[in-house]
Amino acid sequence: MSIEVRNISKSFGSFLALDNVSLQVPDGELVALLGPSGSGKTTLLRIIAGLEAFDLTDESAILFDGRDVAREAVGRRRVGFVFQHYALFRHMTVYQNIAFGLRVRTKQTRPTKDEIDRRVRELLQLIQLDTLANRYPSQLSGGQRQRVALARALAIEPKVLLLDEPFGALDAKVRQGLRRWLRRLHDEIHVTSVFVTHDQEEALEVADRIVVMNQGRIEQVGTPDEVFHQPANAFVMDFLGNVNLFHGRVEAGRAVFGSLVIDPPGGLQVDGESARLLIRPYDLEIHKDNRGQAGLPARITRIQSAGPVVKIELVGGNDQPIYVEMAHDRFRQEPRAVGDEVFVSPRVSRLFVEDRQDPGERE
Amino acid sequence: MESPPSSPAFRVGVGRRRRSVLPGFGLTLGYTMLYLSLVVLIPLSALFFKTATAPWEHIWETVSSARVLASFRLTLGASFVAALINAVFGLGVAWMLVRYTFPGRRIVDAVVDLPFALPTAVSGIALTTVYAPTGWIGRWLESWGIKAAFSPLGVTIALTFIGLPFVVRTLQPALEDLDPEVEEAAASLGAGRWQVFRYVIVPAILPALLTGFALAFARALGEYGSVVFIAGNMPMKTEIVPLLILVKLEQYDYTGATAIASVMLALSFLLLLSINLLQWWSTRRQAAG
Amino acid sequence: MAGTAKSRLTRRRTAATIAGTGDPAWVRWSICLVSLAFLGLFLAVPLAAVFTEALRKGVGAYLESFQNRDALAAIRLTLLVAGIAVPLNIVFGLAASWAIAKFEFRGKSVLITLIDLPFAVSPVISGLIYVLLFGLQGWLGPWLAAHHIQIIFAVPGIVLATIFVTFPFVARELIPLMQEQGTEEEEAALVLGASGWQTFWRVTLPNVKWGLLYGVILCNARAMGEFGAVSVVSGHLRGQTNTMPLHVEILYNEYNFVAAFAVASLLALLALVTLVLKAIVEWRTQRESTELPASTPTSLQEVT
Repeated sequence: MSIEVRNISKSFGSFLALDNVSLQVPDGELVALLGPSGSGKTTLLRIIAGLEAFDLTDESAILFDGRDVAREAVGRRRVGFVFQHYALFRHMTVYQNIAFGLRVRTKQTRPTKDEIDRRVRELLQLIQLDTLANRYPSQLSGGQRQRVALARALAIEPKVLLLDEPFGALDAKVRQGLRRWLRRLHDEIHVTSVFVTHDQEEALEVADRIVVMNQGRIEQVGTPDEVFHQPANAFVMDFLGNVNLFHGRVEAGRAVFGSLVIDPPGGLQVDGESARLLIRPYDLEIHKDNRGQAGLPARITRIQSAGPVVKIELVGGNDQPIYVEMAHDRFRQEPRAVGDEVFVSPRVSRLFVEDRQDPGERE
Repeated sequence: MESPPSSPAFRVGVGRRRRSVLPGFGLTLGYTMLYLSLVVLIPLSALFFKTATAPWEHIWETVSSARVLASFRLTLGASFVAALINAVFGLGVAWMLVRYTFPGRRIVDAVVDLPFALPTAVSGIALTTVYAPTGWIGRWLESWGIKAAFSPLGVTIALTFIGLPFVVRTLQPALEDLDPEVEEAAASLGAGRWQVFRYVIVPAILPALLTGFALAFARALGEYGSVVFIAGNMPMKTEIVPLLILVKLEQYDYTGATAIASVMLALSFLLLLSINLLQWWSTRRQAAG
Repeated sequence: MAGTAKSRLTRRRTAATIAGTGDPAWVRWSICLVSLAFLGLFLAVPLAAVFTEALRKGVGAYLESFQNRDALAAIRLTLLVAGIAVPLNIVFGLAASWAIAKFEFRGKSVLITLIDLPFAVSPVISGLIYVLLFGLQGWLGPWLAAHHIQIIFAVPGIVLATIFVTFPFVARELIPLMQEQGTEEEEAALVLGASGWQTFWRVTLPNVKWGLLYGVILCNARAMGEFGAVSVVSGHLRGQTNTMPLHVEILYNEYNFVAAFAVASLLALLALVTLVLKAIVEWRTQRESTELPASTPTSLQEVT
């Protein structure tokens, strides 16, 4: 089932948690709401579920398959919701937790006892916890609780699955495993799913589509490739991985960052405006001499070669820190040492003038 | 909760209060307010109304009479001494229960609540029997020339009994919360055991100790059942304030009873206020630390 | 929470021996001796006295005390009063804690203070306010008299005074407990399609059952044992408006000590049962919060 959110705002007192947000989630997709804390992602998720009221206006609507559910009670929306801290019923066993949503139905709609039992057993198998059916939540590990919470949400055969920071409370290793498991599970059951996360890696790895949020607004919606390689603005680029940030100014149609000059084709029509240049650490190259190119002079302060890549820290003009990452074999070809005076130049960079990405990528 | 979508009243409601999807707020809060008003607020306001409408001279005359003043002196004095005794011995009991393990600790811990659980009339007659000149302890005290029952000392004994759990139960969590690392740190810096107690432990548990003291004192002020038997109730000597209220009532002097009760109530509320301030102070101190 | 407290204790002990932060033996012994002697003098001896005095003239005389019609009437009245006051305060406690713990609204802390108010009021004053309200000289007295309704010096007055003094018990146990548990489980139940009542009965209530029981036990003990407030509104009519504590007083003042202590021993037994139940409930809640997650961590293989 598709979800559409139209013109939703939400204020807590004077604080605007969501600022006129609109979003479409096509049927069967797995979508990540990604953003820093306070960006409104959890609020948006809770509003979709019906757990949170929003500022009602004539334009605002929440549509499930084109039908407005904004005024429908939370229990009637048939959404599966997985809470950040699972919210398992602590006085019920795993089995009872999963069966709850079926048992509380009215007589007319409630499945028979055998039917409920069959469904719960199926779900227990799906989450691979069939042997722990009679355990209480307090007797389970974090990852197991997470899977029970998911099974409980799936038991009511939800049309939409919503997950609030599903891996937030787990340690790194368990997280990795569950992440892939969730992706495979989604490929199996294909229920439209939205999950909230502040971890860009998690979003990039699991989601079909990523919604990047900041300060109650949506900054960009796109596939992981799109948001990573074609960020709509500086915030998105910064949030999705490490960047080097340089401040400069537009002069005579060119962006000037010290000795580094970016001359976009067609030129810039906004002389005097401040400009920002964002460069990923692995898109920076280190040269011994300037070779006539527009490179920035810098001094190497630290080299960390343990790990998948070699990380080099430098200091440029005005004490600006610069981070560079390069492959080990490349480093072996041109070894550097702490204290070397070098020049750095970008292979790929993104130029943002006044928050507007102007000419786009530059190779 | 279905509401008309864009009525202005609804919008105001959203702005004021974070709406929850849980049902039943109006019903439960309404019932709470109704029941609270009927059982507590309206009857209590009757007392203030009665005081406010009574002739001022009559109230003053009652409250400033020698017999009433004597009873206030006794109640305040005995309550204070009893709370002080409890602060000292209660600290010992709480310390023992939190820090030491010994056989029967659980039972001793449970028995501390006896004064809460035992009906006051029962504790009253039991204490009287024990501390009377012919009683188990009273006989022994009598041989030392100490008269326990039917004297201010008897009143203090009863009020000590009734106040003990307040001090112990307030101190226990405070002592449990003490981080052993802080004491270890103090010891590693060269502090002796007594210095650790004086400069590390006492400041940390002081708010709890004061709160326990105030609670015991407040409870003692109003206590009636456990005191009337052991007090002997001699006017000017061993009459406590609550008893005097009852005496006035029996004489159909409603205004007099109300006047004394108002003073008592004002004292109690003052104490309640200081207890709240104490708790606010201690939580703020904890938050800051 | 209790788990960390326990591990802390063991840590403290080992650390204490090494760092020398433990109390010296003579300090330990003196604190224990003085404390236990204090508890003995003030708690154990009076409690023992109740049963000794009751049985002073033998079991026969003890049992005979309960053959008395007035004693039986007092027991019946006490049960009746507690039977009305306790359920009413349970309903109130549940409603108040639901509203206060699960919702945000202005004036919440004032409301909590008001609920605690009866604890700050002397029992005698708790009785007095009802006399001022319903007594012959009170606000509603003349109207009640004209309609031949008697509240003061009758059972309704005793019930009202008892409700007042036991008013906060259930609510003040439940409010912090429910606040601590938050609203997530209730939200989960609602998302799964449960109705408001189903959520309350199946999720909220089972989660607070021990706290509720705790409050009810304390409420009941006070309801059955209340003396001062009831004494003011009762009128002390033997066999009619005498509860057990009032009956104890009358017998004691008549120097009928065996009978007085016999009835008192029943109330003391009630107090002991209360303490035992209280200890059990405390132990259960502690155990439930100590239960640690099973030590089988989710391995990667388990998931993949």
